[in-house]
Amino acid sequence: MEKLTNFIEKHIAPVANKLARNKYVQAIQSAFLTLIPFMTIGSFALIIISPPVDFTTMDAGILRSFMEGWQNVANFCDPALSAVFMGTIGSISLFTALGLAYNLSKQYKMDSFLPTILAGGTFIIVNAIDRDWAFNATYFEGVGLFGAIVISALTVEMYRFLTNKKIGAIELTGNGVPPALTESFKSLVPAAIITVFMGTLSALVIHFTGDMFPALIGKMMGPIVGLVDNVWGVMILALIVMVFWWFGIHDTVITGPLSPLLYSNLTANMTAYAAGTAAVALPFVLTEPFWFTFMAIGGSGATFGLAILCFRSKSKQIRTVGKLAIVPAFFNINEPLIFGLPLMFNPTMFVPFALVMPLNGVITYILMNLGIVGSTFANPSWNMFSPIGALISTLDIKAVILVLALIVIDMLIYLPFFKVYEKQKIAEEKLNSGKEA
Amino acid sequence: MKILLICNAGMSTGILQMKLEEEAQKLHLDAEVLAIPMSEIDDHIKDSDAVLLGPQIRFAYNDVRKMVSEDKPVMVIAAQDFGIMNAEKIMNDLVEELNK
Repeated sequence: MEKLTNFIEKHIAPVANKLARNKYVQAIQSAFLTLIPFMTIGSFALIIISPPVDFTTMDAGILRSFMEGWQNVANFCDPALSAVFMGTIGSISLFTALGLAYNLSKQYKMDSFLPTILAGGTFIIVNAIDRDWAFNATYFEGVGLFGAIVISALTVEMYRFLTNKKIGAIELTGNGVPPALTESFKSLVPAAIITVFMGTLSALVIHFTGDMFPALIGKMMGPIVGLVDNVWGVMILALIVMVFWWFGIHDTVITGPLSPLLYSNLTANMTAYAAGTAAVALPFVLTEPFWFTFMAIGGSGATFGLAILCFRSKSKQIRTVGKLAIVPAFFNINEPLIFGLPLMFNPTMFVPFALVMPLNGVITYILMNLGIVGSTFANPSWNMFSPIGALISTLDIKAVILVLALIVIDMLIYLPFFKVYEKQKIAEEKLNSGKEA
Repeated sequence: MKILLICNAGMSTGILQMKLEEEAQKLHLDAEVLAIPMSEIDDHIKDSDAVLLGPQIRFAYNDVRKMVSEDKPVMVIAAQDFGIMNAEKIMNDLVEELNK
């Protein structure tokens, strides 16, 4: 055991560190973190203007009246909220490009205003001007996300390289020159080089492929998305995440690099839903809410049921942890369980801890893929209590039933292992109290 | 005194933050505890006097250690202390480290 621990700390932890502290991964994560308000506003605008069922197809009754009322609200709000949706989720790639440039340049300790604006410019040049030199907003949406990330990162890297090497830096000297002017003159030539480069890049891609740069990147990412967005991909990813957690290492190592894919799929689903696609026929299953609402119920390892078991445990020690863990569990936070129970390095609990979340993923994936339960198209944020999050993200009551069923299934799988562990603890407690007496 | 408390998203450490501030008051320390996500380290690291890392991101210790001057303590919170939110123990360990 000690050998294993040493091995992890020596060999796995540095790799985890490299991945999690990778500057691009961090900048993208921070960008998404800052965009949460936009995601939430867009999600709710979408939900309000898109009742899940067409009331005219329903039988008379209270549910029909409710849906009819919803449809009326939707019709009334549609002009305003459609615009809100387009300006938030519908333009998410632009905001990601800006957010990434801002955070990346901040990490480089550069003055971040110009690189951010420049990233906005290069986004328009590459992601928004089509082969007829017309303004085209297709890639403002989630489909342009990967392209936006590439262009934004490239812009900042080029700008950093050019300004560091002082290439084309026009130095204004003299006492009377205002500092703001000095700064903008310094960046004039680098900005010119970058924008012309991006314009050329876009023109070349359009010339040779007939399609825009973000379409090309999207095509290149397609196989990777396909590799992950299926039952096996979800199962294996979840298993890796849980093994990391068993060693007490945060899942950001996996979910960090994964997040652009999760968001790209989610926003693609959102736009499809806004365009009238039914929730059961959306293009992607694996999204941000799929992972955090349906798989990690109560936190990584799907420990919501386990938190309840701990809360009611006969062992004093476990009950103490349970009391600490029960409230955070509603918000999908389970560090008290992982480190306090602990689940980390706990051989008795390894099997359920590692297997329950992948199982949730597999069950949910199959049901969503078959169209029995609606796929996710709104983002309730990862710390929303799962049954409510399930309703918000799918507007499908079956999704709520699914999450409740998963909580029970998870609890039943944890139960036998938990009983063994509880017995060990109670025996320990008896032994200790015997010693004291 | 400003103590940084870092975890991945700044969520799980939020609970500990309050407990640590209470504990500091008991010890009559004028301390402000700030729970932040790992991605915001750069913004706060300069004007902080001590750094505590959640055990789930202990792998970042070496990086963080390099970011702060030698005289300021950087500590990884022990898993068990973090799990049961043993603020008293964590604070005492930190004070001990500060007095070294």
